Amino acid sequence: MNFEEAQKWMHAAIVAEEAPGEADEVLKSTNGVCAHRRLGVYRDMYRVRMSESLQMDYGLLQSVVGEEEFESLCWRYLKDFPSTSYTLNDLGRNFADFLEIQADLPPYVGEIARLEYAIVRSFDAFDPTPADWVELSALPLETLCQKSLRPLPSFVGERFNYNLNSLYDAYVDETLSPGIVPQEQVCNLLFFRENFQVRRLSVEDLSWKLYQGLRESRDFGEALDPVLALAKTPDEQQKLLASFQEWVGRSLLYSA
Amino acid sequence: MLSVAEQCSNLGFGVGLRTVHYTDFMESCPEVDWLEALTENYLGTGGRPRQVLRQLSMRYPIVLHGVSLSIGGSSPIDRHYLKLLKVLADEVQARWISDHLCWTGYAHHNLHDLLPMPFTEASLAHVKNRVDEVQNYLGRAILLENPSSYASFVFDGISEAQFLREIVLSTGCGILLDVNNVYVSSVNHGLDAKVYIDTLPAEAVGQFHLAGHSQREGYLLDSHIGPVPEPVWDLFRYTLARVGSRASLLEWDEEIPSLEVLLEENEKAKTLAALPSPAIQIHPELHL
Ligand SMILES: [Fe+2]
Repeated sequence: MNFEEAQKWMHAAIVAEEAPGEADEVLKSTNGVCAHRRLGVYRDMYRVRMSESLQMDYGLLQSVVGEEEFESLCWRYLKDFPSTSYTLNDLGRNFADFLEIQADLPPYVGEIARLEYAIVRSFDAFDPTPADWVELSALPLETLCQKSLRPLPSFVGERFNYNLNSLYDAYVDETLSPGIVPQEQVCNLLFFRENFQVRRLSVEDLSWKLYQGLRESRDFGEALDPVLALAKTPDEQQKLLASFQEWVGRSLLYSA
Repeated sequence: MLSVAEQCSNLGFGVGLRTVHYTDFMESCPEVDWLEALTENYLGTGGRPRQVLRQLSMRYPIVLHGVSLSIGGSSPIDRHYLKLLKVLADEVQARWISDHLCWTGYAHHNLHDLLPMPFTEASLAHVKNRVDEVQNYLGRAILLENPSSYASFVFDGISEAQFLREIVLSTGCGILLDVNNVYVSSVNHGLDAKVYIDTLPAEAVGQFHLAGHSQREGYLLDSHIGPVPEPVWDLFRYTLARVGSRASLLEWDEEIPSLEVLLEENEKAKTLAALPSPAIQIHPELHL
């Protein structure tokens, strides 16, 4: 066995569900500790490290499904999506997608993972300099509409089919009841970074559409016009503009 | 390329920068000679950690210590990682950059562990080439740390210390000598820790690590928990006499105490380093 084959073997032996039988053909048994036990140290540490890393970022999911189920979901996930990064920060990159296609899981499980990954993304994002509120508000509407304004990478939006806003509130307040199932109700959440903490905004459908428009449109006018057309009442229009003002005021947009 | 000697001045006694102490460092500027930051916690992130490190780099000398270079791995060196590392090192004016003599995964899958190297002539040539590649890219010599190990391969042909020595002599890289790791691995494999220290080229040692470990059934675990145990202090005394004083850092990663407790532990290291070194008899079998 050359050194590459040895590494290939040890890697497979660490991640395998069952420890391989041939450890003593590759590793030394010395100092009163057999090769299987020595391999076991690395196997155990791998499991602890991966679990702890996912627990840290997916605390709500763990609270909702319970510790045992969470552990089992982590291992199912890691079998298909082992870490390929230099950092563990991004270990959950595919967690939500993976959970959403598991036939034996209720759909809110994947949604919860998506919410928690949005927080990770917001926390870690590299942001360009935000657009200046004073400068923007001095512009005539026509000029403003021609500006390409985009949400900062740390200003992350997700739309859910369950009321995860209330669920997350209960998690933060430590009032989650065991076995809780979130209520089926569309919920639009925007996450943003303020003083290096991730904060959450719950927004109505029109504001959500404007946020999406800002992500996808050529300029502010293209994002705003179709949404304004959907706003049936002056009150709705007012709310929409208030959302936009809040985002600019909190420095969540940048000029692309 | 910047040599080890050009980079590794004796900065004194440092502390590993951990999230729980961010506020202490930012608000009260405690008296610490230098800070060691875990590279991967600051790469590819635009959040608070990077901002804090950037600000602290204006007040303290920063050293970057990585765990994902996988210098002994079989997959090609991750050029994207190196690129990010270089940017970060420039940004915080890192005094030097270190990682571990280990591999971390196979076929681009990262197990995020410091896995034991197979010590053969072929793996030695492989690691030498990779150290050259990394150093050429970074434009500076790197330091390689001896990891704690719990297993070794039946076909190992040379010792870890000899392996490290050969790499240093061939590539000009330096050594981050973790005294606790030497102790832990020596106990785990039934080897003589002092022979390990004696085998290394002293002038290549650029930094020391000190840490605590935990007793497990049949082996010691490099847990970085608690104060430095007495046998590690003993080995540190021996190392100081053999190698001389170097920039030293206490690693404490489990049940991390207050900064005051960490600094008190650092005082012990300072006291030892200030004592005159006793004459040391180098192991007679070594021809250095
Ligand atoms: Fe260390």
